[in-house]
Amino acid sequence: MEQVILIRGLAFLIAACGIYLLHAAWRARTANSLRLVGGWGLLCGATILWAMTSGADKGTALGITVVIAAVLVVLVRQALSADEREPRPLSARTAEPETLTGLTIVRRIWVSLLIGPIGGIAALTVCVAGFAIFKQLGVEHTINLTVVSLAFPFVWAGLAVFSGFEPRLLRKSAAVIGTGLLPFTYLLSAG
Amino acid sequence: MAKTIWPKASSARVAKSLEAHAVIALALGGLIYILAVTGTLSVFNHELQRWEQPTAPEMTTISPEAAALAAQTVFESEDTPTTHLYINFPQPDLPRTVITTDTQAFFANSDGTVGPREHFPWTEFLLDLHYYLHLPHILGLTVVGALGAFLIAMSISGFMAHPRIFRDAFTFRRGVGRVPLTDLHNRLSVWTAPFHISNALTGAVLGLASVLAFAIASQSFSGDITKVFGPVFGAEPAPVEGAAPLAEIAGPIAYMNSNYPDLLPTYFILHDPGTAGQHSTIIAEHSDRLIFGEYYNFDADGFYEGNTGISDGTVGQQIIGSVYNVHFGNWGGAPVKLAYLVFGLALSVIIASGMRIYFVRRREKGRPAPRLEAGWEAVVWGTPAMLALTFLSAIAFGIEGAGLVAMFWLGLTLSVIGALWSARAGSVAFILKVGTAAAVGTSVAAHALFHSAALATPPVMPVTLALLIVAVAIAASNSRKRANDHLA
Repeated sequence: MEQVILIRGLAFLIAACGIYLLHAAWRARTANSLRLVGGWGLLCGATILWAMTSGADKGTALGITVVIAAVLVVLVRQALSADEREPRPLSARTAEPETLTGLTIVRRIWVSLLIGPIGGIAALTVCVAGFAIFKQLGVEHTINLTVVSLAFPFVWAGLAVFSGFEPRLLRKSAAVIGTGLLPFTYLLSAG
Repeated sequence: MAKTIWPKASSARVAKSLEAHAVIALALGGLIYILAVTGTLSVFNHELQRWEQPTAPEMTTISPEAAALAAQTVFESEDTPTTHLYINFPQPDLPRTVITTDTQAFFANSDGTVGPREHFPWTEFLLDLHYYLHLPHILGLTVVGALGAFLIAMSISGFMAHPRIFRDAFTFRRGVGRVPLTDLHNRLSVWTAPFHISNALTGAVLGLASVLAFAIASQSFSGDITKVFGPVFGAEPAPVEGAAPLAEIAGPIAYMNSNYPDLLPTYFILHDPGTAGQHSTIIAEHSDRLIFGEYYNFDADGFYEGNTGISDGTVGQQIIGSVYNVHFGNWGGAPVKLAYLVFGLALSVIIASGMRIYFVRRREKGRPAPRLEAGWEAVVWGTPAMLALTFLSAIAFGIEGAGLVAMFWLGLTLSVIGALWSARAGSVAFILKVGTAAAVGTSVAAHALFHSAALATPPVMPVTLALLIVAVAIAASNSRKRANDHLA
């Protein structure tokens, strides 16, 4: 128990040094690669020390939690010590009000569908096909399920970001629908 | 001049990323914000349960014989045979024993007699709101899971839109206007990213699990969904027809206590009780792990049959077994819960400030949207206000279930409509903050009146103090805001 407290105390100290180095790098702005590498390295080191005080999973999570909490303390201090800024004067100009044509509304509804249900179905199809392919390749079931469970939200998120990011409607539609159609074709052919 | 090592980004990429960020936020920011606020409160659901029902019998442990006696008594009182009989063992943050069937739940006293019925309507309402948004369960879980995926999308687009992520790592300017708001939004987003990304991911995994499992089962296992989850959590054997005396309950609990003294049993589950196929499982927490627990399996006579492998099985089992705890923050006691409170509040601030930045930018560009801005303030402050109103209604007037659900959604809708009509964001925020503080304060007073004998007890005192602090903090933030507005 005493050893655990000692290691955690050391980990906290190392994390504080890491944050200090990162803060110093931020203040210096230039020629600070050593401080940056050192800062991140110390934060990683602190997390590894935390991992040693419990199970590897829980210890790592504890370490990351402590680092975030410590940085938030620094940010609060930073915010409190900063000078209060005057708000920027508001623009006197008045822009032309946005005109919503029927086409714009249809376009927006379509983009919402791409981000939401269409993107979701495409992501689901990718993951189901991925599961089937990994199963055929002999990947162990629980690992296979874990990979596709974690991938599903990321694939959906990626498609949603692309749907908002890409300005050309045809291109984003083709990308999202194509992402779903390709694995769907595979699933159909695989029976 | 020294060369900078900060990465550069194309302005086109930044603009397009911001567009993606804004599109998703505008469409779904309100629902994601409700999930962030309710999720933050849900971390303390055990504490809230205790506070709502402060006189329930408490104990740090219960003997196997007493637990078995209480379970048997509840089982025998059932009109329709239950398919599962549960014993929730006392936990450090919820030191109560609860016997649960398919239809009811009772506290057990430490001598094995059955105590009062479990009843915490507001906490149930809160959890239903966070898990399902009060929709039918599978649909609700899926919608909530999808919102988790969209929160990940917002994180990805936010990082893509942030070209000076390292250069601005600690930049935090105070005041009013877009710059301080942007600093607040960006700094909190970047530094709490491990929390909000892992939370969004685990929430999405939990929420989308049903849909994914159904699709995988249809494609790869002829529609048999048990074959998807069976290898992870253990397959439940097919029920065997025919009655049998109730299975051994005390034996498995005693076995765990003597053979695994370092583990903390959380649940006893008797599957198909009173049938020929009955068998039991004890879920026990491993204090040095992120997993929610391990399944220890017993036959009807109480003989140990082995564990399922959440703690020592495949990597996949161990990762999936950790998802729930990572999401709900119940893996490290009070310090981790408090950290989740801070990070959850930070996430709520990130979402609220993100939309505010959008409205300030519109004002700066000469395209103000005062009605939408006021509507957003109604979501930001209407959510806690309606939570506080439902809290007061449950505590003071005994309203529960559908009544609370209707009150929350109707109240929030009316707040937004009223705000859109008034187009005065500042006044909307002021009124809703006053309402929140008043409702929380009155709830505490009503609770103290109804449970005056329990006022200084462990289930009541900390939560009462915390609620009073919340009420005072919200009221104080309002008076400061009012003073600033007055000065401006």
